[in-house]
Amino acid sequence: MKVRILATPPDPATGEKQPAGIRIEDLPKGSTRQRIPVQALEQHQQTGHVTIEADRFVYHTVDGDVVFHIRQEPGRYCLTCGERLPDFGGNGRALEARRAQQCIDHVAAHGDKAVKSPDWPHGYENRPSTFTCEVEDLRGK
Amino acid sequence: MADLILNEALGRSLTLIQNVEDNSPAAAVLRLHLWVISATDATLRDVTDGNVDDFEAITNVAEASNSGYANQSMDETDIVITVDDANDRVDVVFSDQTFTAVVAGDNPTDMTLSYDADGSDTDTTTKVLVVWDFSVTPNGGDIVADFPATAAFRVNQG
Repeated sequence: MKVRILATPPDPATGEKQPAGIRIEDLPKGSTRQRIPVQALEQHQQTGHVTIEADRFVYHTVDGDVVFHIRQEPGRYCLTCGERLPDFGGNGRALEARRAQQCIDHVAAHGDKAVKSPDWPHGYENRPSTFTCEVEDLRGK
Repeated sequence: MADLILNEALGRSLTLIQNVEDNSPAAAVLRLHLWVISATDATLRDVTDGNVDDFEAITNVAEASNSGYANQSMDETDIVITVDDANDRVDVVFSDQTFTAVVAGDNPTDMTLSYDADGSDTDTTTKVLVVWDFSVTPNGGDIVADFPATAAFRVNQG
């Protein structure tokens, strides 16, 4: 998607501009899905025009609200059954390898029905800081 | 933030990223590749044609060949472009991408972003745009490309 952070006219003395709202100029065309990285959310929050709720993000744009319903929290998911795969606590390279092996074992349990893709050759996806959302466009409504 | 942009991709990178964000052409995707590189940045900047195969033809540049590794693709749903009129810049943020369960072998040093116009993952037609330093030692775990809060890619005035 494409977002524009609008600005006030430049201050005549300093030339400085201030944020003046937010506009969503483009939403996905081939899908109602949008992945929202935490980094982008934090950047847009700085304008004060994004509300974060338990199950959705609402962009209060100058043209009306655009709601992003959270369909998938950050984490690891099986491509075959959609199950969120468990995480071991803590950090560390050895733990990370163990997590990956547990995911591979989970996918293997699906046998011939296991779904894999070129991007996800092991049959699970891992997006640790991205929300997968369904877009509801309420602008003009 | 990108560590370098290929000379022939200067200014063009944002246009090509926007093609994918616009879903035009619909099959277009961005790709992330992992590399083992000891060539200098100056050498990388000067690569001509700039397709993945041209990049790999540079001496001391090789794509990671670890078992379990596959390049990652991103479509329009993975891209957030923010045009910031208050600060006069354009930031591009991607959803984090993960190379899952990459087995030990090569130790990648860099990651590239490329534009694949037809989504066919063909090295001779996929354009390399930017390079990030990305040093990892695979051990069978997941390798996450988690882009920084300051944007994966930024275009400024001036």
